[in-house]
Amino acid sequence: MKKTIRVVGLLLVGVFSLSWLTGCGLNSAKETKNREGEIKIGCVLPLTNSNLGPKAAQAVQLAVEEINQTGGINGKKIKLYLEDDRVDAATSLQATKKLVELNGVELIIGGTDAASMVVGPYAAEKKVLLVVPMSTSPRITGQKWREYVFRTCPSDALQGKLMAQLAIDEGYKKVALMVLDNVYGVSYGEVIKEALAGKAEVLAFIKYDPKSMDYRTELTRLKNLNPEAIIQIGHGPESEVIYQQADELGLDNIRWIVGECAAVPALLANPKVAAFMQKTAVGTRATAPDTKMRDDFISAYTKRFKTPPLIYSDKAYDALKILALAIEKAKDDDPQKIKQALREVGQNYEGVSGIISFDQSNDCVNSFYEVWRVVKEAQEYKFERVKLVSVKQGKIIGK
Amino acid sequence: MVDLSQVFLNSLVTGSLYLLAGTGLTLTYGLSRFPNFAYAEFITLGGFIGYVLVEQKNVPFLLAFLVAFIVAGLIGALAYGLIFQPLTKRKASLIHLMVASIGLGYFLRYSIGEIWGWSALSFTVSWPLYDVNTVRITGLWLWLIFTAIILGLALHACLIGTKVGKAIRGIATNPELALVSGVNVERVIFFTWFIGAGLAAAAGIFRGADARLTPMLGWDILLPIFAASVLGGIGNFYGLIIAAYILGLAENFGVVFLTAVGLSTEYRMAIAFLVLIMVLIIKPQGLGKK
Repeated sequence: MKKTIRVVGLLLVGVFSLSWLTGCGLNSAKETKNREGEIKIGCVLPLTNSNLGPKAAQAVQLAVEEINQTGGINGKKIKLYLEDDRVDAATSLQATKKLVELNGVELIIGGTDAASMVVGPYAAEKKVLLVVPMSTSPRITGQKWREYVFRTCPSDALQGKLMAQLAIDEGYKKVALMVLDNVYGVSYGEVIKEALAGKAEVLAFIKYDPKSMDYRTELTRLKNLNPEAIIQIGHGPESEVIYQQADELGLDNIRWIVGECAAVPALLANPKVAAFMQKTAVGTRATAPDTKMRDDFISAYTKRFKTPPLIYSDKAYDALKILALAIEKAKDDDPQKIKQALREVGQNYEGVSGIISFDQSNDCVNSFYEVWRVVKEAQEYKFERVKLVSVKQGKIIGK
Repeated sequence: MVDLSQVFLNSLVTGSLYLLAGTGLTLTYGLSRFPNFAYAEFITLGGFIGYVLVEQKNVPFLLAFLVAFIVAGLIGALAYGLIFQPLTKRKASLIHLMVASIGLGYFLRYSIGEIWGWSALSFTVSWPLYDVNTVRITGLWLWLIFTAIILGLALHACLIGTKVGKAIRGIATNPELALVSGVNVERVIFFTWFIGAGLAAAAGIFRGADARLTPMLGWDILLPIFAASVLGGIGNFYGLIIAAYILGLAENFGVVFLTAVGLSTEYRMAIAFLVLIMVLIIKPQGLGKK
């Protein structure tokens, strides 16, 4: 008994002294907000568990390098703080808190969908400016905290209609939805379901677990419902497993209309999945018209990172560039003033991802999408554009 | 509405993976008396060794399977010899052993991440497809179920009929008695760690080929594997056989239920755990023990 008490006592002393030590460490490591000669910008994006995230982070890095090489903003260099959110809301919040409370960062690029819902309110509370390049959920529109959260990518309220239109145009009367169970997948799926109402019957709305990696029974259920098309919205990594298992279960003889995260080379690197997609899949993804500016970005990116950019890399690049422009205009580090400036520069801003205009709720209203499919040319699978679709002020204009 | 025979088969596939992966965990627990969290990384390691051999060195699947079994087995035995045996000799408590295994797990997981990277890798092997009435089955699933059945039979024969099997049972029931009866306890424990990690590796290859490979592969399925072991009465192989398939059924029929009522299939694990809790309330010692 005595011994136990001694051990517990020692442990307690240990824990307390440790927390005291780290507490001191934290205090001394805490940085001031404004440092002479530099502007702090944080970037919280998925560097793991994601195909698109690492590329977006690299695009931000490229934009920072370009600005710093040409003298910075108002004579100040940008200092970039890069954090990994692992496509996880809690990790994202933790990383953002670290940037704000420890590094004294007040301007942040970041946020996937689940993360934005958590980081957004925190940013508003701390009056920290957040520019989101790849969080497309319609649910983010109109939130109270959006005053401090701008997004350079369009809401899936637009892309969802386009996805539904694909099914309607191909004449399907019975479709089933299979969406990733998070803010992105579910709200995207709801838009599609709404757009299909009265035009096609939705046989099922399955919300799946991205971590499970065993989708046989979900797919069995879809197979038994006998839909003419399956609309699937997910992230890239688990979609690969879904297509593989769908192929094995014999779901390769119906149409799959799939989300943009599947339109990445990583999926075509798997020959089974590539063949499945070539046979069954059509989808949409955000893009932009070809301009010289865009071409320059793509070649600069490819030169710098030895690999081409992916969807939303351009939006991330523009997020940093438009933020930099706002800082320049505000002539100040104060997020309040930069926020005002951002509203002004964010009208018909010409970026590498097209024209960016923020509406009243700080959403980007214009965008271009493309409908894609997978083709096989000379033994190589690749994505091919079927058509380009422009969205202006919330209306789809086919091209 | 739903083709139940296909769901049964899906359950059989899920259950077989849990059985294969859970066997090593439950056997080593029976002897070493602590839950080895690094077991997750033995699974992952097997997947990666299999991947390198099959995809990069063009080794036949079966041979890759054996090599992965042996390499992971040796690493398992080494882990015991270098970490857990010395700790046990120094009278380390359950907590110490558990924390050490978590540490080893981290070390292995991040080493795997450093060596093979954090992006997912995929097996490109194509498996033949078979249709039995309305049920679809692939060569890989057949292999998995077959391996699990063979494992069950072989291990049963070993535990009942061989000297080492009797020693394993003896040590699990009463280590002191086994020791005074002249059983070389240490050697038997080493052997069990070898077999345990080898079986983990086998499960890892199946999981990797069925889905995809990441350094998190083992960690992501460790929870249901622990659940199966606990449900079977941890340390008890026969209980595990029943428990693995009960969890497989609960998960897959759970998905049928969840999709029918429009809930997220993320709750499949919750349904499996609900079954676990109910069984443990009725039979706290697990299914396998009397």
